Amino acid sequence: MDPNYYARLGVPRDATLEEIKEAFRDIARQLHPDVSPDPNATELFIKVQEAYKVLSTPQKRAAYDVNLPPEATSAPKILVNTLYSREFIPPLDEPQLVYVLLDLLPTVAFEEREGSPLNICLVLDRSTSMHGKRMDTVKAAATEILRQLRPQDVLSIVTFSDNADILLPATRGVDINKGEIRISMLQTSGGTEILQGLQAAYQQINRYRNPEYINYIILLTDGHTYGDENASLELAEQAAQGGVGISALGIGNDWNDEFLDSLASKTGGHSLYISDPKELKRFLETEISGLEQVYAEQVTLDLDTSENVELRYAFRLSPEVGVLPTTNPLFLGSIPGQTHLTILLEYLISSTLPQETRLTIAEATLALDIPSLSIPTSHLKFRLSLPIQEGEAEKPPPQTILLAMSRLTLYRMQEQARADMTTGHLEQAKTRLKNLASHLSSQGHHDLAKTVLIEANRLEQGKPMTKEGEKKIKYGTRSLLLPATLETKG
Amino acid sequence: MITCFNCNHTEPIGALFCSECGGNLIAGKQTPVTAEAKPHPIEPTYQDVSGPSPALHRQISLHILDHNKIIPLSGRTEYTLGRFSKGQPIMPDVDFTPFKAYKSGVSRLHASIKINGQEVSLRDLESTNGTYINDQLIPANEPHLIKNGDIISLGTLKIQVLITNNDLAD
Repeated sequence: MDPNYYARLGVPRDATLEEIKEAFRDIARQLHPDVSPDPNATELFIKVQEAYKVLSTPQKRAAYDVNLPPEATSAPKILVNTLYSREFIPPLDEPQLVYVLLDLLPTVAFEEREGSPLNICLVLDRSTSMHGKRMDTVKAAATEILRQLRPQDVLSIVTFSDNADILLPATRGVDINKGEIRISMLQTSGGTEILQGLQAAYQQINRYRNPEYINYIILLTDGHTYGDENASLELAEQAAQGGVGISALGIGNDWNDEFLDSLASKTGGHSLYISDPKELKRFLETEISGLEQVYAEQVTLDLDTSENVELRYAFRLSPEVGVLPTTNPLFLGSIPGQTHLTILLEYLISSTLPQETRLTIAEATLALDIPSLSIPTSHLKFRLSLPIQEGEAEKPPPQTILLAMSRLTLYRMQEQARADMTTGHLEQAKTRLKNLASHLSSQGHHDLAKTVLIEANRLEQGKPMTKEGEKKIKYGTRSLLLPATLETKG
Repeated sequence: MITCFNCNHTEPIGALFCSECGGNLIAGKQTPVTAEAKPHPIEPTYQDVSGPSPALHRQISLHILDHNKIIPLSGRTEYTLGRFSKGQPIMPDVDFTPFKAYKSGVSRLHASIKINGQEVSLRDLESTNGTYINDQLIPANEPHLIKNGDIISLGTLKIQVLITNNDLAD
């Protein structure tokens, strides 16, 4: 077969000249012989250059395209389902809300053995606070990961405190004994400088970064990082652009959940709260096996929202749960082989509707990467829209949306209560927590309701919420949104 | 704008739940569709209890849907449901006055719930506005079996019956 220039640049066949240039710049930044330590980089770079020369010149590209076999592009085998909370939008003199549930699922049978090789980096916090039992569990869990990996997987381990060390440089098919010795040498000391750890991890990932791998950083920390939050978030954005996901696991109660949540969500990754270090092993294992089963990754949804419409809130319901930043595009992470990727969008429609019969909420472009296919997939375009029409709604909103919203409302109540506290509205925070507690207990979540009540009582006594309580409530209400809890039967 | 029935907070049209108190904003229009009102979020273990089992002790709670309040019933085998009114000697076991009972058309002695072993039944006590089980009007003075998750209405006051047993609750 002819060389596939599109694959070399990692762009779909319908890529614009701008996208091609962007892709080339991105690859050049990591593969250029002056930058990359990898001895193979030069050869790869020459190949990429060759592809770029053809694709960036319209005449040459056209000539190349003519000879391309038709199957060289592939439409992503993904089904997009959209569900709206309302059947139509009546023209009104006031703003209105519409909820849209987007459900993406692979339409091809996925078998586990098809799972793409992983290129993962474990970033371990070795600050003084990790000393003792915590560090022991981390070591045990890391060793377990070593055993779980398949021969084709690449692993690197970075540890950080005031600075970062590379405990295990990126290696394919790590020797278990050697790895174990390295891990056992892990010592605690110093503070928590997350940026240092992330930078080192990103470097390690870059050594093998390739669209055919699942490139992923797993950060494990128990503390606050100070002063380098913004730089860390910028790095996360850069990682997302380069197709690297980040998951953040917080141990104990002293880490900054808001920071770790936004760090992970910028890449489409997610955060986890580990209250008991004993759970760490299980969490890490689930994390890795989740990555092994990824069908499509780097799922990005570009929403070109209409003028009179505003995206107010975006939430991922499956496979992981969490708030998505409402920046455009949305980084949605990956689509597992066996489950759906589901997100819920809240749109505020302004009072001035266009003089048309249909309201376009947004023009959506879905881009994703299927690592098991060497050919880049083309973008999927679809439109979110509803008819504009007078009258009262006849049908109730779909159950799935209602159920998701009833749970999401609880999550947002705790979010709001915490916002109330930061702005000094203690009274409101307290009322909200009490309301939350009664909803939780009415749904049978008695333990969580109790935790919420205890925190509400603390507020009543003029004391701040405990860090433990804050996290338990946040991740407790969030876990109510997990697919297993949400599944409706009929 | 929609005004929350529970806390008077206003939300844009199309909102499904009150952001202030978490109350369901569309329950009034249709059959209640809160997560609480659906039978499935209730622990399935409750429904798995079948057949008589002397060791199990029944716990009945009344979930006032529009107010999201749960009233546990305990200590008796029969409870009268109604509305307290001043100067009247009648006092129901469960008083729905705090839940706008008068406005919803709840009679002073509206209905009764009776627990008999594994069976729980509801009887209308010749109320003015009638008693409903899952939107079905029941004739007065006749016991009707109710089960976990059923929605009973006293007039227009909707209440979900939650039947659990103590042994499994903890």
